[in-house]
Amino acid sequence: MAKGATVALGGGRSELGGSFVEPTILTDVSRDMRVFSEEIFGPVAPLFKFETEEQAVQMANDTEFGLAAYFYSRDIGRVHRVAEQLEYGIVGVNEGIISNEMAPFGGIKESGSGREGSKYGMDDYMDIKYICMGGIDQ
Amino acid sequence: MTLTLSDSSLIKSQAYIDGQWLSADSGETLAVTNPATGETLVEVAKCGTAETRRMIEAAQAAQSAWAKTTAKERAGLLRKWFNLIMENQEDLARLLTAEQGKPLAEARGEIAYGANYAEWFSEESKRVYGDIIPQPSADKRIMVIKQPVGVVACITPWNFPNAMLTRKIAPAIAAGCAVVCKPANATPLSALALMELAERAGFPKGLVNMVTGRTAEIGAEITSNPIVRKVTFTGSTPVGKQLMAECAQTVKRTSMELGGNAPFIIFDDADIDAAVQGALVSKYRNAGQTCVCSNRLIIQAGIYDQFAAKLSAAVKTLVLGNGAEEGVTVGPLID
Repeated sequence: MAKGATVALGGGRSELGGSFVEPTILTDVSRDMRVFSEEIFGPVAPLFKFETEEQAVQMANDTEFGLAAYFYSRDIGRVHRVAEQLEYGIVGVNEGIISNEMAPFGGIKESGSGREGSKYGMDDYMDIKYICMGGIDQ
Repeated sequence: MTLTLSDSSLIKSQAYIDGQWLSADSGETLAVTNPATGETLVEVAKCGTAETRRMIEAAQAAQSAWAKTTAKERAGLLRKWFNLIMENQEDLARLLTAEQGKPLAEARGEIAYGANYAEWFSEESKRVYGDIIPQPSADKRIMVIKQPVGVVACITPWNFPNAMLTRKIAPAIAAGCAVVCKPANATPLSALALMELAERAGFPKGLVNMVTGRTAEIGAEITSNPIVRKVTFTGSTPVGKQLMAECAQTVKRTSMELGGNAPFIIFDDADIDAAVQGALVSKYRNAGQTCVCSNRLIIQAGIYDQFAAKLSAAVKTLVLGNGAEEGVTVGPLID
């Protein structure tokens, strides 16, 4: 708020008191505000604006984190391009709920390493051993 | 206490080490509270270095035998655990909501979601394959096999107190590892209940272990003890970096699932109503307390105002309250 954001909805502690925070929406937000670069971990949604596809991807990738990203588009070319360019371990396309045990879950960059679930998930708990046997051929 | 389960023996207050339920050596406890009401639910054991070392040694003993079992045996045990989790889904959900705050419907969902990993890795355990590789010279034969890492430490957060643990324990056990666990002190009850169900499923003693308590001491023992060959952590990025640094001393393997800053982009050719629903579930689920929650909504200029208006209208339908009450869609924050 101090940097000029507008509270479009909510914005405060609920009258229920204690740890209850109202679901909140912020508009007129800019990239120098903390909500752009820090994980909020609460029910607050800041709404940023972009003009071109390149700007959207650049804004999305402008973070040290890389766990999940989501985008909505109905253009098949845009869908392929953007899914490939987003620097994230998980991409949701026209979908907000992505986690299930058959798909590899995990991030890149400072979101971490390793994958949980999927056929790849066992690899995290196994070591590869190479056994070389000699003297076979007389 | 408002917590009533049909099977109250799922509520455990002690550490689980080498097949035994034990209080802390010092007898000290720490309180687990309900974030919606502030009341104390249970006092759990406040363990430290000594108990952690004992559980690591117990895991080592169990692991050497476990690594020699067949995939079918490991699959069978995980399947039993999965069945028990689902049979006790309602009780586990009530326990979860009481200590963590999320709405009961989400808690039921988390139990089923977490159980799916036990089922999945029960099945995957039989599909671990190696390679026979063409020899570089006539007198050699080359093979590659996969073997369990050994004793694995699982450190889990408060936002999914059940599923974050099953996601780690299941593949570790399937692979032939033994585990030692440290759940978040804010939400240990769901984790301890999973140990109780593992015991009922017939997990050999020492195969799965858990302590609660002095986080710094327990963490330091886990990361410095050379018997622990891998640490898998889900939680905050600063703590993850610290754990990785500590693990470097004994060159442990690590898996880290740390913070996110998820962008949620809406292009002007999007189905806006679908995007609003997607934003709603990915942003406000678990009151915004998940690593994959959309953190930043990035909207193309042409549809910005329209989307903001539709999102506001949809957010107004969320019901804030005590997760144990039916109809509540957003619970309290845990801290």
